[in-house]
Amino acid sequence: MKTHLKKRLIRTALVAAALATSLGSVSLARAADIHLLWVQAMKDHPVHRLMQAGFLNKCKELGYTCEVVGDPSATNWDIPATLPLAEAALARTKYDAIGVYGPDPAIYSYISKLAKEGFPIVTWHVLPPEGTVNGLKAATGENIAEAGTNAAIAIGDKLGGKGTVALTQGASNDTENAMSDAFRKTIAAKYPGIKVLDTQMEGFEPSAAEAKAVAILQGNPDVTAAFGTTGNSIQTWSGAARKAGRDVVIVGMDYIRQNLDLVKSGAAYGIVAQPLYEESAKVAELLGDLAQGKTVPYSNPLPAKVITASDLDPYYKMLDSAGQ
Amino acid sequence: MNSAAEVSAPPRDARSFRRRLIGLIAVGEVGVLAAMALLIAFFWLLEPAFLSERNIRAILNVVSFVGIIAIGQTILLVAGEFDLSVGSVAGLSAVVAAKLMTAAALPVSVGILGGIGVGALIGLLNGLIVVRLGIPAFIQTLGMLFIGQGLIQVVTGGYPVYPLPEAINTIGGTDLAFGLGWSFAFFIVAALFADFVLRRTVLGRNMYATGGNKEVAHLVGINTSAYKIGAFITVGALSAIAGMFVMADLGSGGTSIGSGWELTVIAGVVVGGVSLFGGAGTVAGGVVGILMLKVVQSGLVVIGVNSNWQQIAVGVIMVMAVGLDIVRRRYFIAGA
Repeated sequence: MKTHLKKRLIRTALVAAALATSLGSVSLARAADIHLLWVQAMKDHPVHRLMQAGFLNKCKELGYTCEVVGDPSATNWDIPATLPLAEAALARTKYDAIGVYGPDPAIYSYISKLAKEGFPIVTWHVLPPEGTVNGLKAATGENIAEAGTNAAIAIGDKLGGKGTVALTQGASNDTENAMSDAFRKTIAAKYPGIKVLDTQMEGFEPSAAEAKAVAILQGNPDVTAAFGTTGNSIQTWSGAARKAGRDVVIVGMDYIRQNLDLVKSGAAYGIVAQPLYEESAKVAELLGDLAQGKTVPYSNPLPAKVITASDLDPYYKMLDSAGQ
Repeated sequence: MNSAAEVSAPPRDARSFRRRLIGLIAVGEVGVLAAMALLIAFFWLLEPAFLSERNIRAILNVVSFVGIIAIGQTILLVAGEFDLSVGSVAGLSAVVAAKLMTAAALPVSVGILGGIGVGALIGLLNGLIVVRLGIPAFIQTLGMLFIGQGLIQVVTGGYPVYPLPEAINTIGGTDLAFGLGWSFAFFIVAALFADFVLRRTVLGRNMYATGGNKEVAHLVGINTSAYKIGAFITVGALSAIAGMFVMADLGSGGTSIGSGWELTVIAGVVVGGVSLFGGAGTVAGGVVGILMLKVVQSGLVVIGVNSNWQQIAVGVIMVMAVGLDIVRRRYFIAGA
């Protein structure tokens, strides 16, 4: 009897092992079958490149086949030029889910069009309220206003509640506008002794941006801090401060390597660590889950705190792992 | 008895065929059409999906937007000038129209007319300053490019005008045939009409004369100033229309509509054989040039060229296409 029971147990264990192996190989095969597309205007901007690294690395980790398309410009936001390139990729490959970069409502109609064709769509970097974009299944990113508030608190505390802050944006768009607005409101509410200058557009071309920042410093001798809402802002302002011979508390965006180096060297004070890499990796996870028929939460917010010189190591490690 | 020359000369049929062949090759658009056909064949052979319905539709859709502007730019180039502000005009007209329909709560038709009016007015301003004051078109229209970009921010306060009235979304979402909408229909009609006017009417011939040699044209009684100013107004109005079609397509009066289009349009029409110095080129050639640029951009994605190399490939192909056309002109037009 004991022998019979032992044989049954061994048989059951063998069947269970065989089942587990076959299920695993099915899911591996399934992962290899999953094709994901990432659609992003201004595809070659350094910050967008970092996002793409997060997405592609996560795809590699999960065994998905992924592609990035978008207008190949580092300075020009052109959605009409991006869409036909996305269509070209869709004509060639049958994708299972698509990520569409959504900080501009001009892309919403395309999101809806793709959703009507049956593609699950995820966006990142912005969190449109659920239901406002037809067909959007999920969104991930930081709360933009919170990022602006965190920057304001970092600068306000560093200045001791007194001084003048220059404020620049890359361009006038929903994301940067919202961040600037939140920055101003927080400064006005918490640090009434701090004045914030009118917003200037530094653009995305580095030399032109730096020249503009130098002009702001020359025209405003009382400026003691600067906040820029675009990824190049730290380079813009640190270069400008050096050229103008001024000591300026600088907070900017995005933990690309040049920016981390500038904070490490003391040329800038802090970085609003928008979760560029993390949100992009999250896009790959969400798209993969949707492609496999799973349900995902709509809103997937991530934190965006201000990091300073003592906080940089984990970000360097992330960039190293991304090959950036 | 036949002479030695008659015995050694090729037969009359062969000479006539050769003349006809050279004449065909000498036709303005043949060079760029041949280049485009080769490229299409190349991309299709590497990846048949290039000629899929989806991809063709996407190419034609985007060509319709910049193509509308290319029609106007071709007319202006034929008249001997050019306009670098077309992108800004497209964007400014779109956001003005959007604001008229939303913030000012005016009817959609009034908004659209207002947008066209803005484009035409800027064209008139450009034309008057270039023609009457003698400021080079490069400087005037470059300055207007910056002014237009600034005005877009002033009008919108930096935020896109969104949402738009449902009628605009309907215009943008209409499927007339093959998934193409009103922008493509307008583009085709405008291109055919403009090509006919330039090639077959006195107005068109006078435009070529104005661009070919302004002094001589003036001496024979052509009002060259009026033609140039008219061409500026035309390109301004067409830029406005293109901008509003993009606005309708995207369902948003965005602040970046038209951004960077000026170089795309000029590059496209020049590739299509329109001369930068005036007096030469056709609307058909300009349109084919724009189409070729978009075919190249789409084809590189479809065949999977690494995105870092795509811009380089576009530049190389452009130079080769124009080179092919120059060879054609040098050897075949001279022969014809």
